[in-house]
Amino acid sequence: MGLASDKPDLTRQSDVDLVRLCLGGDKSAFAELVRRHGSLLRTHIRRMGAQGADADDMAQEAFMSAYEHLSEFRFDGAFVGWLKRIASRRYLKRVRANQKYLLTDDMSPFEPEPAASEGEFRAHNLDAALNRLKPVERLCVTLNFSGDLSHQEIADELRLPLGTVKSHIKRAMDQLKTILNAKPAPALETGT
Amino acid sequence: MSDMKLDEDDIRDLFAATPVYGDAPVFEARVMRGLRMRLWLRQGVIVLAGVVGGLYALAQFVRVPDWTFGEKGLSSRITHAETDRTFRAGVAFFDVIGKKAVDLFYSSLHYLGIMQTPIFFWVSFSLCLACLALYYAYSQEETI
Repeated sequence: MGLASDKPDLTRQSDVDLVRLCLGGDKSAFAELVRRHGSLLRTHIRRMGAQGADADDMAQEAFMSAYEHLSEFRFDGAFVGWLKRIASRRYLKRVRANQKYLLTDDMSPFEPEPAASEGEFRAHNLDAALNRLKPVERLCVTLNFSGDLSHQEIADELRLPLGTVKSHIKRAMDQLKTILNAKPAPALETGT
Repeated sequence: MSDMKLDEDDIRDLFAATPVYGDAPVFEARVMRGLRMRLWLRQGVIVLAGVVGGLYALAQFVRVPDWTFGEKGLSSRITHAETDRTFRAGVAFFDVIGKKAVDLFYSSLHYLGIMQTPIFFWVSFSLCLACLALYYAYSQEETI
């Protein structure tokens, strides 16, 4: 029988256990949390509207911020939800500072291209569908569905009226359903 | 193939599905490297504040009236008292090092003089205040 290792197998630990290990000073436990949730967080930030390298930078900052405030995690919800909330707030802060257009009421720059309206856009792909939404609709629906924020929380974060947020989410959902329900392209005949 | 009719739960499921990134290990390494760097920088600021504070305290210490530093070194007396050549050579070596250090110390009196000026006090005081303010601002900004 081999000697039992003092170090627990981190891949088998729950998020809560990993957070407790981190609070005890185990940095490798945090590395495991990054490994476990890195892709999820990067996707969440991209779906809100951030682009490639910028999204990764924000995901990195969100992780570092989470590490520094780990003692504030109250264990009353999923760790990944808390992480997404940190990332969302960071993204919104940057959006408010740099991209005033996001919260504009002028819809004309975001009208869908005519070619896409009749089922030409066939990708059953959420990310491609999100790209076709107005930025503010995309943000609202992502915060609601991916960030698990309530309508009221989104309204507070975006400093928009609750009714406006609800209508953004409804419109986004209608568009997503339309886009994602579009008939896929017929399979190419390859012969048998 | 018939049309798929997605409802809200289906879209929620689509949001829950996470693509796998090919560079996930690189990202993980990058996060941990950034974390280590930030901790080092933070400790660096603390060390800098400590050094500035320590220098200021030292400068004040040198101002103590009638305080002198090693004019008549102990080492030369020891050298005369002992006869062992190896020991004497060692003492002589440390004596030379000590004298060099004293020379350096006296040559730095000019800087010590600067450290005792009110401007140095205000600079170090402002630096410490700035450190505290930065910490406070940072903690407020990052509050979750």
